Amino acid sequence: MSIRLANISKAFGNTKVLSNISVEIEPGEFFVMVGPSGSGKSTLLRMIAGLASVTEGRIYFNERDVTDLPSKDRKLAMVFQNYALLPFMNVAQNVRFGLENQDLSDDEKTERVEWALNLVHMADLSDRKPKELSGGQQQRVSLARALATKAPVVLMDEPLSNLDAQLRTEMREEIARLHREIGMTLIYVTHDQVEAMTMGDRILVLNDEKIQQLGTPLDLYNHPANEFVAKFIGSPEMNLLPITVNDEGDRFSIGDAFWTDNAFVLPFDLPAGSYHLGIRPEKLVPVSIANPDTITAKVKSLQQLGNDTLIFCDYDGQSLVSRVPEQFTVAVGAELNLLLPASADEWHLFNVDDGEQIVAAPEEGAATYGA
Amino acid sequence: MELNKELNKTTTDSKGNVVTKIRENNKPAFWFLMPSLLILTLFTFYPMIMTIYNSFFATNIRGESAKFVGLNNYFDIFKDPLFLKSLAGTLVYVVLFALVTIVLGVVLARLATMKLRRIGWFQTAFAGTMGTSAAAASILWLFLFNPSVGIVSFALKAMGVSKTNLLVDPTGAMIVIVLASVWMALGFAFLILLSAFQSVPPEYYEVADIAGWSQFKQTLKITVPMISPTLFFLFVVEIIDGFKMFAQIDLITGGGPNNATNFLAYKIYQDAFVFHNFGTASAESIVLTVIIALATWIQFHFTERKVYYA
Repeated sequence: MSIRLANISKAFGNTKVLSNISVEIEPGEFFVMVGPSGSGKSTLLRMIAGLASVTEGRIYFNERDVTDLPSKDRKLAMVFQNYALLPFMNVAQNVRFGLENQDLSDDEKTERVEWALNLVHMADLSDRKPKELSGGQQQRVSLARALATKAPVVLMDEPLSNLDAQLRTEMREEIARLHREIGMTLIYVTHDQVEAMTMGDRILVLNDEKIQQLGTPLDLYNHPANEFVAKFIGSPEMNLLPITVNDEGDRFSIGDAFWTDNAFVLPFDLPAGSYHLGIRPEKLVPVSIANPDTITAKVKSLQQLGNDTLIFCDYDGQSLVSRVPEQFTVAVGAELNLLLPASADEWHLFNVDDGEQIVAAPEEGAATYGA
Repeated sequence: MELNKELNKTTTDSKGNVVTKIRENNKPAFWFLMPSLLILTLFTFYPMIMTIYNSFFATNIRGESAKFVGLNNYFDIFKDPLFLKSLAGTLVYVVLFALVTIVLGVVLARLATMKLRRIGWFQTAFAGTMGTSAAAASILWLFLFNPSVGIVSFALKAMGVSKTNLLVDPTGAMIVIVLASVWMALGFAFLILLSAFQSVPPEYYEVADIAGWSQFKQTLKITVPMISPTLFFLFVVEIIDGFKMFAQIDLITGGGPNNATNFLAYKIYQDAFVFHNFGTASAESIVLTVIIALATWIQFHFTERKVYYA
């Protein structure tokens, strides 16, 4: 089922939460809405579900206006962060609970329950009470309850947030598999950018009442539309440095002013002025010998992740982080030469005033949208 | 073998240590308990023991035990048709009172959790009877049902009912007493139920909304099971309260008409302080206590199994 949001706004009293959100979600799409807490992503999901009223705008399911329809008439199912399993019912009863009012015979309902529990590998535990299950198992039951309805749209509100890290990875895979097997339209809300990146066909980044960017995971990573998306997607965060370009537009200094004796060559021409330069941590590479394209930063701390090493440095009061894809050792307090990326693809430039992306080198095929 | 002995010795030693430790730790506890122990002894335990003692004696007019009569007081009250009538009436009243209070409490609490306009005002109003004294409430109800100025009498007359003075009719008087008691108990029941309702996670209702359950079915199948511990607690409390009810009868019906509302607590009071039969009244008190204990035990035994605790 396709879903279209047309100019949706939401206010609680005088507090605006969302303004003018317009999105089209394709049938069968795995659509992720991500944003920090308070960004209105859950509210948007609840409006789609019919659990929250819409202040302004319309919602269409398959081009049919459902804005004023109650939840039960929208043909959808929802999975909640706290699972919402009734504690006095066993697993099978909980799954059946979502079917109670569907036009099915008792046998058909029993069949559906079995089918759904098999899908999530919980058939063996169908007579357990929720409190006898682990968090991951409870969330599987809650998924089964949503799937048993065979609703064409399934909404998930931070379904993995109550699970520990290991289970989360496992359930991420599980939800992706269920989506592949069943092919329902799945709208998934999370505050975790890793979940968003690894699961979604497309990601909608919300913040500050507005859509920050809509695109595929790699789109968002490679071409963030503004500083917010640049910092929100990717871990550790993208480094952001203020830079100033000279009048000739071929050299720049890091900081608020241009200094000839502390300038670097630009990889492409830019109009004179101030910018924010974004560099992904993996593109800020430590090198052993200083050259005209390196900056010398002081190592503040080191995080060994086994496969990666994160090096946190200080450059002239600026915090920088570099990620090296190996086990790397350097003494804390030592000076480290970091190579600024020379390729335009590895440069992310943002407007100093509004943080919007600046399309620096369209001829090199960098970004085609943004400011 | 040797090892076992050693082990046993160590265990015994450490047990001894633990007991001494507990004794030492409990010293301040005794002083903390002292004030309530004193008060309870003076106003609860002593009267309780005296009541048991007196129930085996015939007493004089000053309430002093005059002659040991064994269990005769008990035999006598169970031969007394007035006591049996009182007992039957009390049981009917208690069951009606507890059921109506809880059902109305559930309805009001459910209403108060709905997102309606001015709901705060209603919440205060519903809980308001908690702050009303039994005496004031009784006078209010007495006026409501007053045959010449009461609004209920007017209403009944307007509807063409010929018997407008409910208080002179045995069934009518029972209804008035139940209504007045329910009204007074409702505030407490409402508050307790409201907090129970609000502790039910909203997601349960949202799941049910999406699945298409009606409000009524949601209340019955989600709310009631979720709040069953509270319902059970209220039921026990209201039953006990019902047995102890006194002020409404004293002020509204005086036990009448024809002893139809002469419930146990009131009869005990009358036997003791109006007719000065302290022995009889003591025996009746013991019977009332046993009945309450029994009723509570039955509830714990049979109902609690059906209660779900999170």
